[in-house]
Amino acid sequence: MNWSPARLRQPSVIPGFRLTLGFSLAYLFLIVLIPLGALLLKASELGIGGMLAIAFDARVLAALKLSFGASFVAALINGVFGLVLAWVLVRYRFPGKKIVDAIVDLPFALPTAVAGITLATLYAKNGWVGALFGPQTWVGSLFGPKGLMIAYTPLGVVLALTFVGLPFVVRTVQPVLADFDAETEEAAASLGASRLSTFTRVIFPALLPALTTGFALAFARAVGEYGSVIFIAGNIPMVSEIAPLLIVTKLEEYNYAGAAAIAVVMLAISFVLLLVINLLQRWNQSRMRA
Amino acid sequence: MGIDIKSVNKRFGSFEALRDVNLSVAPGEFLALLGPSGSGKTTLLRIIAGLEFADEGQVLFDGHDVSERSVRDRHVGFVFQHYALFKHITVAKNIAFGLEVRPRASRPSRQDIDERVQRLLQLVQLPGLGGRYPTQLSGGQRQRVALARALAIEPRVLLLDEPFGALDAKVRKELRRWLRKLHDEMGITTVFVTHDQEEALEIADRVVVMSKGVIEQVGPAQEVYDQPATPFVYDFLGNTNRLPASVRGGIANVAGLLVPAPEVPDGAGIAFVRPHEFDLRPSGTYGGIEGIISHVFANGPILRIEVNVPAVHVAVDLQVEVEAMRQGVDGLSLSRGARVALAPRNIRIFPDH
Repeated sequence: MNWSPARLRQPSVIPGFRLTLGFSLAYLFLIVLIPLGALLLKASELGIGGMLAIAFDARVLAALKLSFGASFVAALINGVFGLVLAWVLVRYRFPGKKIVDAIVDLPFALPTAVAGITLATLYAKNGWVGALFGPQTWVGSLFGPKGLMIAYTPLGVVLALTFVGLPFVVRTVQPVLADFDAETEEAAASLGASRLSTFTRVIFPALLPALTTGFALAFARAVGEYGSVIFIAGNIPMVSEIAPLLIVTKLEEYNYAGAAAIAVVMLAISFVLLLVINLLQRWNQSRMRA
Repeated sequence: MGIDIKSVNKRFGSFEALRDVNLSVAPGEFLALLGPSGSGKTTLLRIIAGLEFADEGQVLFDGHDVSERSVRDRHVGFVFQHYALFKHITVAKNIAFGLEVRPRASRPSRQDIDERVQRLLQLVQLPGLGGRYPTQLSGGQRQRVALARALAIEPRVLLLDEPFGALDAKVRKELRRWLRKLHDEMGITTVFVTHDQEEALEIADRVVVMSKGVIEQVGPAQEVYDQPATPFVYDFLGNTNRLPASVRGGIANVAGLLVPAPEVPDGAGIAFVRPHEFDLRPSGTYGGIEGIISHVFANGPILRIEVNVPAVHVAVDLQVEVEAMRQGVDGLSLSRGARVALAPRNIRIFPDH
């Protein structure tokens, strides 16, 4: 047998393997790897010890915790309500469905700063929505004598992150749900399954891979979000200050290495989390179509 | 369990899927609903199952009206054309599904469920494959899993919607004979839908031929084939020749051959003769339709001969197919251009609408 390198390629109708792979690699280098490499290089000026010192600084830790924690909560909320929204859009016909479908994408299109300012205005103590949760109203009094503060608290951060992450879950789940075979549901019903167990045992597992992808995307988007959060968060150190803001603060202090160090820590955590999610996905898929 | 369907009507928008359908299925019977697509056969099956509801009429199980009951409560085993297996769980879990979703009070113990799954895997001849996922099985294996899953709940009736439609010809034949054997062992009332007449005639006790939402004929397979009640059934079941005829005073003239047709009104008619119901005779024989052989095809032991008949009453020439045993045509010249007489052994005349 002649094992020339050409044999490694699958023969294909459309040629151009070398060209496309070469282009892809060059593109990835320019757009992703060189900037990230420069980031690492800058951060390495501090040395491992210096980086760890910054990462474990109390204020940085609090910011990282808020960033990842709020992103996680926001992605979870989007997971639940994105699924419901996708369900409604796929399963039912109602007037204005096309419009609702289009609204889902708005968080993609709106400049995030605009979203942040709008949310902050609405959910501030004297804003339209924020006032509903004030201490004078019965809704607010449910949350104690001070009412429920949304803007300028971690809750506000979650709110902004939920807003920007909304389209991801809807758009990943929607096509899978639309393709879902009605016969499978009927089979479950004919075997005596209630509506609830048909959903939990049959439909939900089929949607899980898409839901996980949507969750991961919403989460990743939220971790990197800056524009909308800084307006509604209040940015109180140790309370409602997100890690990306801390990076910008360091930059404004001309502490480029410090900024890079926080960025590298965020990058590492995000990378590990996304890798774990992808591995879970892979494992789940391989079970189904080995 | 016996099933009675009484005056069932069903519309989808302006489309009339079923029109005043009445049908009784005897306990333990193996019944085929046969018809072309759009004939309403699947709709009827789904109404029996409770996956669809009739606009008017009743469905009775053993005399009890179940028309208002949902599929969950009807306790029927339903097998879908495309298997509809749960892809994310194993074969064993698929089969156990109907038992595991029962409320705690009526759910068998874990051990009982496992035992029943093993027995069903044996029954459908897939022992040892319980740990596989559906996508790891062939089409025929998947359909047997679907059958085992339906049987697991010990249904009162087994309903199959084109169960072999997605399988290749060889597997389809094996599987339908196996299904018939399985039915004979278990004795469960079975209704299956098919558009394949061969399938219906081969394995069903009785065949229901449907067209355009109406039942055309119900009867034992052989009877439906031998004595079709309507032109549709004649055309749909098996190969047939259509010959124009003219009827006057209870006598039909079919290309010069006079045939008694006492129940057919005067006017234009259509004569149906199946290819194998012709005898080939030497030209000039009394009681034959004269024609000229245009093609001779050898198909194993069967010769298929096409004959041009210059029809008396129509301006076109007709091609008549003759299937005859090779041995039976010795002594007759069967080359192209030879003149022969076609003597029908069985001929039916219907009025031409």
